[in-house]
Amino acid sequence: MFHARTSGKFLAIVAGGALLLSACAGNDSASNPTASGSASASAPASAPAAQTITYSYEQEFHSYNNNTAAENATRNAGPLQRVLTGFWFFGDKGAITPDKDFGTYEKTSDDPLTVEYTISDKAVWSDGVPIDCDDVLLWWASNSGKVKGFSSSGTTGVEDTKLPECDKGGKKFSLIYDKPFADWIANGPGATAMLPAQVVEKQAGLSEDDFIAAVKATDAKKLEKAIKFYNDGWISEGTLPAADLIPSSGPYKLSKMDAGQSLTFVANDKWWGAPAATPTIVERVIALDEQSQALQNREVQIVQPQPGPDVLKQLQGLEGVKTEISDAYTYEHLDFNFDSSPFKDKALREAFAKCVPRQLIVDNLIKPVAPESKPLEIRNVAPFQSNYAAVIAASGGGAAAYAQPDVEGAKALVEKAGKTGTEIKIGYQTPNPRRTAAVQLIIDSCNKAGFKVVDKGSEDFFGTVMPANGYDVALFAWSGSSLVSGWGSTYTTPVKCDGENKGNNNGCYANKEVDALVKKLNSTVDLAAQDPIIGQIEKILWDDLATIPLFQHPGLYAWDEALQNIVPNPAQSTITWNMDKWSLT
Amino acid sequence: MTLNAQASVPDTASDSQGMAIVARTQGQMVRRRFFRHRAALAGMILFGFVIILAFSSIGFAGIPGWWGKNYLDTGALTNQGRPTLSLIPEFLGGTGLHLGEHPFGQDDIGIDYFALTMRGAQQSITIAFVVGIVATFFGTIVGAVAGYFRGRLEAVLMRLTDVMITIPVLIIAAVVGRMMGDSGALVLGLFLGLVTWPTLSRLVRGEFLSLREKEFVEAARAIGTPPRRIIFRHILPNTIGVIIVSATLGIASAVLLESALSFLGLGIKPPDTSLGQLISEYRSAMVVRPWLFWWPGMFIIVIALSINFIGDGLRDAFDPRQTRVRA
Amino acid sequence: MIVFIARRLVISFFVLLAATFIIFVLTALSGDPLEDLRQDNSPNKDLKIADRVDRMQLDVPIPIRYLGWLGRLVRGELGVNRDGQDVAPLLGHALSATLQLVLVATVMAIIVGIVIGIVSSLRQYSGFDYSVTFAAFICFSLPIFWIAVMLKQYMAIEFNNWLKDPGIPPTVIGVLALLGGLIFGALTAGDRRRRLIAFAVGAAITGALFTLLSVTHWFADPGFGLPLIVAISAAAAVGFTVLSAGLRQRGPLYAALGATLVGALASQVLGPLLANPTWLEILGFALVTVAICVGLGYGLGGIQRRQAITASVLTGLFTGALIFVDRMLQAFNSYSQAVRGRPISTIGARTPNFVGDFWQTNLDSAGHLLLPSMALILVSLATYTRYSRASMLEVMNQDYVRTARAKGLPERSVVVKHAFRNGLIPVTTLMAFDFAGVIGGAVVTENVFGWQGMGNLFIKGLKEVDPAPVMAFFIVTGTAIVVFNMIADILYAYLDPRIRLS
Repeated sequence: MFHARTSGKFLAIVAGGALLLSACAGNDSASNPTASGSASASAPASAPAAQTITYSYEQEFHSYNNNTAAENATRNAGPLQRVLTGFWFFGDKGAITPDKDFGTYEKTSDDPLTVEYTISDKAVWSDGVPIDCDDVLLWWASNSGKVKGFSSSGTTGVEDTKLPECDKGGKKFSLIYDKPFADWIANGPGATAMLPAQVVEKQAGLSEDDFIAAVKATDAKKLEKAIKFYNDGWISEGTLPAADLIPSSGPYKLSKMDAGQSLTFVANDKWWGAPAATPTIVERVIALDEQSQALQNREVQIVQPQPGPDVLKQLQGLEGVKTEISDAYTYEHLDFNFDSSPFKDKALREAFAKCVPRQLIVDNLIKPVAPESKPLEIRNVAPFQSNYAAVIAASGGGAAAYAQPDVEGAKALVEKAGKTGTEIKIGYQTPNPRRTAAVQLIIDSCNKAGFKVVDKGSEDFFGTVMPANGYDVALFAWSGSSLVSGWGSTYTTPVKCDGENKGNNNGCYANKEVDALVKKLNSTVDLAAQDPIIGQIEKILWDDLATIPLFQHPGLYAWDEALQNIVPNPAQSTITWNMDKWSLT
Repeated sequence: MTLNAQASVPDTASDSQGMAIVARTQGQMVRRRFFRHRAALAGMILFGFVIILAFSSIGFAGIPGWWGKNYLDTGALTNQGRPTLSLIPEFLGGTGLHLGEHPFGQDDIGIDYFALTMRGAQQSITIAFVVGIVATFFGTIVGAVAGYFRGRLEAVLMRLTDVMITIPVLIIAAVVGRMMGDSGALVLGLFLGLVTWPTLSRLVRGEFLSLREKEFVEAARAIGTPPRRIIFRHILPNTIGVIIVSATLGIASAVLLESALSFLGLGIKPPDTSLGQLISEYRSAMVVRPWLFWWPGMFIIVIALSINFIGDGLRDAFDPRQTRVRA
Repeated sequence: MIVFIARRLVISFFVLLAATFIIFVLTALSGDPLEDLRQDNSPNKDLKIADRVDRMQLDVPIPIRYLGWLGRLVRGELGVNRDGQDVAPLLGHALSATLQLVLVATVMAIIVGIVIGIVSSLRQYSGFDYSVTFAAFICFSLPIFWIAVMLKQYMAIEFNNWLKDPGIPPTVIGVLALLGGLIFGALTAGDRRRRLIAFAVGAAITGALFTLLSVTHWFADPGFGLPLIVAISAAAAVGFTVLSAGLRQRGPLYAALGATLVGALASQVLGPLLANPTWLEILGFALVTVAICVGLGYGLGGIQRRQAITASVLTGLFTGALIFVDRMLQAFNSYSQAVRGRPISTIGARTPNFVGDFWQTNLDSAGHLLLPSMALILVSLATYTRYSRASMLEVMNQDYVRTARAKGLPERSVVVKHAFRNGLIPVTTLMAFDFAGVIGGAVVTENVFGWQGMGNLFIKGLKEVDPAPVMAFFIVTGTAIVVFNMIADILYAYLDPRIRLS
């Protein structure tokens, strides 16, 4: 007992004492609150309050050069939109928009297709060097595939052009095509494509004249150092490359990078166009799931979270926040396996298309996020594109037959084919709760029609299951584009149905008519003439049931109401496409 | 609890005050001490309840349960998927005590959330127990062999343990997820168990190192008892306390490990589910549809908490050194 | 000893080598490194695939890739990730971020955990002990991201909202008062009447305190002020003296109170020096404080000179810390205004481009560290509390403690001198283990709070099936685990002479 009591005393002093004293202390401070208030004589802190806008993005900026194979990604393309400008950019609703500040271009001849480009006289890099011939040549050398060694994200279109003729300091050049190219309008150096040649020259130890001569001679050997720098020299490793390596040709320049945290843009004082509305923009790296709370706590003012009904409602419930749902370019579709599956039989494809509950999938999985959403009617033009209605009209509305599931009709077809109980493997990439849910809905509906649909979702779907034909129908998403040269190959008959040759035509769909139309489309230089051709292709795709389009993916954006001119963009230019117009009221 | 199964050492010592008392076996004493630990007892009842609820409601391994719905059937959303469970009786202004159609509500495609939560609980419990059993088995064997035989065998085994300790669990989970596809909780648990044994093996080895020098082992060895018998019949029963306690704590932390893996996308794969999977999926629903977040969360906490209390009770029961201090 | 360490080092080296091979192979097998590109339907898909195959040498068998990695490692290179970024600088950034996060959390968890554990062991089976035990088990049973989501919602967003008008509603004050009373009651030993009185006093004091804080809007513009600093510091002086020397001799008490006086004086005189100091200067002040306090203890300690020095140094440092915190609190208002009145943040390690004086920038770090540290602390805290309680109980039951009591030593000496140190032995090994584990275990916390630390480096590498960053992560954590393991063994032998290293 004795010890217990002494230890009690001891404890009471230690623990109780601390509390007691802090309590007295509280009284004390409260009785003269001015003591602390007036004592704070610290200088006012300057924070990014007044003239800064902060937006969030899930991935960290990697490279000032968005044109190499590995770095061609929205994590770079987004931030660089208004840092490296060009003749055109993906503007409102992802439409190809000429950038008049940078320069002008026009088609001067159809045969051979010739496009004449003029860089603005005022155009100058932020280090004071004019934007001119050597920059153009650097762009051409790295994107045409004619100079070996440059890492490129794609040479389509540029590979068909002749070397642009220009001389040192020249601001005019032409792209002359060997054959007609449908997407000529977006084939010149656009936003993020034109890089400062003076930096490359300096790093490679070449004079401007030497560099121009070397490119004109497509002398890969002489350009070796230049190529090496172009491929790797602009990759950031947690910090930005030295300021003199990353000059700007737009309203903003990159000023600072804090590894894993943020990227800061400041207005470019050498910018010749309309000045940036807000002096400082900050990109913060925030995982998708964490963005809405960061907005709620106003650590960022613009967020682009993973769309979902809960996030949407939560954002809509916030005070002073504007929420917008807009379509993305990505669309979900079912892709049949024509190579080895029951779906070689068109009747079964038709039956399957009849039983897939397209409307229910949209109602249950998409409408909670995007109430306006509808099942997709065509594949290759997105609902927000200006030519959507025109193409649907031209396609003859093949989707109408499959607007609502017709389980009875499907059952009849399956029975007629004598294939009741056929096992159908739906393959898709896991984990993906939305696809799992969609597959569940398909199973529920199509099993009533006499199929035996099984969920074959796999974590390695694209790597092993799909190449090994371990699926009958695949559920996945494709990214659309306002360009036509991108998707044609998806429906073109492959030379041989194997991994090497089938490209994006995973199921080896084959139709000679489509092949011819795609070819025609890719060489149709007149934009207006393209729509009817796309419509014809869509019609055949519906007739053949090459794929079943399901829905356009929604995009979710939210920002502080105090911000003006925030316009989400479905293209790879992302929401930052007009960041020089953003302003705070 | 398999306390009866252990070898018991008859306690024939009489009390120093000379009062006649009934001799109790070690097992009886442990049981008595355990049942006197109120928190542990409550934990055990609660845990038993959760197990019965989870496995009987929606059925398991093909055996149907009493709850009419299952965790895969989609359906139409009733009342936007709100829960129909009501716990406030009418005389208190509520809508009376009833379960309703979907007591925990429904998910986005109309799956009954009670069924999903129960399935999640089944999976989480399965993983936790498989991890616990596998890790305990290997940890005990390795620790016992290393501790008893010493020498080169010990060196090899302990270095193996060192290697295993450094390997991050996440890598194993990622590899298992890919290789095994959707073969589910059993396989995931098995592999997680195969990497989480080193802690226990160190403990068991420590116990063996000190026990093997004790007189009773010496005696057994002197009369020519084979090593296997010494290990399993003589030494192991004396380390059972350490092993059981470590196993319970391992099970409790495996529940949380599974939830962390699911959060990082490395756990159970949909359409199957687990509690961790459910809360990480509906994390963003905390404000808008709180029931989707809270119900599986409550089950995780209840399971982990009750196992932890059971473990605490077992520790006190097996190792009374830390119980009452009265000077 | 040296032989032991040398042998352990050599063995550890081979252990690590084996582990690197296993991890490299497992990472390479954990998925399809081209997965994201295979889903791509852009025309340049093949180019991108070829580029990555080339960079990651995917056409080379895995063991040969491993040898290549090992060869580069020997030359001191960590390789590039799949996008061509050099991994070494990435590792540097990640490590510094994680250390910031983990150091603060671990130190706090150790100190608070051990104190709570010891108090609850000395008050075994009291209300306090039961509450702590229950709370610890709750913490053990919470998924960390669950805690994180809650913290963000309530400790950041709601707290910041509340700060706009920081009044405390009467009901909350009532609850807080009740809690205060319960803590007082639970900590007081004795019969029911004494405990009831303690409860009433505790409730009254807590209630009054929070009412005053609420009425004066203290939270909007906090601070201590000199009288408060002196009062707290004097109380601490008494407390430290009681702990180190007891109050029988006056020397140590005078020394400690002297330290309080010097500290209070310094806070007034050094005002201008503290306007915008650097960490180096702060460290300098701390050293000077220690020197002065040692002097005080030496001069005034009398017969208990050693204990006096301890008491006065502790008091001095504590007072210094108090002044430091006061300064930080004074800067709170201006900082809060600079960040739009939302000082507690949910994401990241700092406000981008924040410019302020020493106090404000540190407040900025603190505001960002607060939530992730709390999440990490809650979990480790439970472990430390349980372990220190258990080991303290075991020690208090030992014969030598009984002997110490039997020979009439005061309880203070028994606890502080005899039990405390031995009780800490198992906890030290836990520390070593825990710290190494936490570096890697912070994956989830980093993920939720947007810290690009070691955990993110690892998980991103693993998801992208990219061995280079995963291996960089492992080189650090694996080495840490092995080294800390060894340190734990050595420490154990040092603290407990009965254990011999063999």
